[in-house]
Amino acid sequence: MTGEAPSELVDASLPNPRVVVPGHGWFERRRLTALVERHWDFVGRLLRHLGVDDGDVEDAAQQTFMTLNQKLEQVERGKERAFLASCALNIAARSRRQRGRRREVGDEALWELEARENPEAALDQRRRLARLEVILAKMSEEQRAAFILYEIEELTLAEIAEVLAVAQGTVASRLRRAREIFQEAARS
Amino acid sequence: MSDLERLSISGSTDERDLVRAARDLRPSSASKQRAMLGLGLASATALTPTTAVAVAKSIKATLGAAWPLFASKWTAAALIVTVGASVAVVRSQRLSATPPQRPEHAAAVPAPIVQSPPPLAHSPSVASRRSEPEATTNLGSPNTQVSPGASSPKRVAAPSPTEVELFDAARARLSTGDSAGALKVLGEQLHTYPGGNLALEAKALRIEALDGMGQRQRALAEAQAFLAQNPSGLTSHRVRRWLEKRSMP
Repeated sequence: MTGEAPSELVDASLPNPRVVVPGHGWFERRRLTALVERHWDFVGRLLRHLGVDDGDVEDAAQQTFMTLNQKLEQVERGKERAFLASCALNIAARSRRQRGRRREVGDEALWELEARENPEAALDQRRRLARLEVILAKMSEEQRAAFILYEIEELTLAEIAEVLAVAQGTVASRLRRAREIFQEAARS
Repeated sequence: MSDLERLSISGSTDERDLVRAARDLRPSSASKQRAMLGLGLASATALTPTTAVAVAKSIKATLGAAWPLFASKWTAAALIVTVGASVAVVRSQRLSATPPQRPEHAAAVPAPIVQSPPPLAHSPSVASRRSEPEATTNLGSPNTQVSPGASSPKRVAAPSPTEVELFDAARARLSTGDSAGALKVLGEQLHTYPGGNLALEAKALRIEALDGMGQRQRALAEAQAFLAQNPSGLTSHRVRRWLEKRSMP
């Protein structure tokens, strides 16, 4: 439909046949389904730790997968996670520039805390996440990305170098500095 | 270049706990389902590995002694895919064609008719979107009609628009400035699918439609009521932002 004005209150990506890339057949759809199943948590967590507001994480994650959907045929098999990470970094950078007020971690509609059935453990997790957020905010964007991808998401240095399009040595250097900041803040 | 030892292994207890808390954070499974819908993927009806195993077990149990005849892996795989696809098709057809059963008191209310709505025809991808709550039995569609000329009444089920179709129609109308039309279709959606997967979105869209009709005070009141009933969630987040923007002087 031409001339359509986007709604402010409705997710523009809600059920809409237009988002399905023409030409995607059964195998592409199966591949995409499997990728969402496998990497949805990774992308959501990554966006959140990269500083995207809780309330915007889901939209940002959907945007990330929309991008993958559009470029699916160009993304080499086995390199999807790196592609998603790269997209998420760009989307997170845009989101941070437009950021509003961050909501408290633990909104049950958005996140599933591992220890939800145990309120005390869940509270501990929220506290740790809040503390981690303060620590991550002390890092530069590059250091933060290297730290999250390596320490939290456990990508290898080679994978991170590919995601960030820099040399492995550069990743190692950013990571070392990020770890110093993290360890110093964790001790205090 | 060899990788450094990770903090989750070499760090202090405190450092390990911080990293673990970050790693344990997961988006809700509902958000993943919404993403599947957004991408036009049939997450619930597609043949996932778990479903495939369940289907295979079911086939094996049904075939009993004849199972070894099918036990070559390629034969079994072909059988699983075929049966699984049939199950998905049948199920998605049922989901897209059958509105949920209405409460008893609503059964006597004539089905409201959406007049000349924009595309309400079944689109190919609608069946795969699984937007309607699953109805286990179809105990009479509200749109069932009786043929007047027939000697024995013949019940013909008129195609009912699915929840997604109604929602898309309302959204399309709102986007072209037809707020009144959108409001009418949303009323039909919320009446037919009161607990549907898109009910919250429809209520949010209704706020926007009311505002579009110039009923600002009513829209603000509905937004506040919406947030009181649904304090958290993605749609509430949008409504809250909308409300904050409208409340600014």
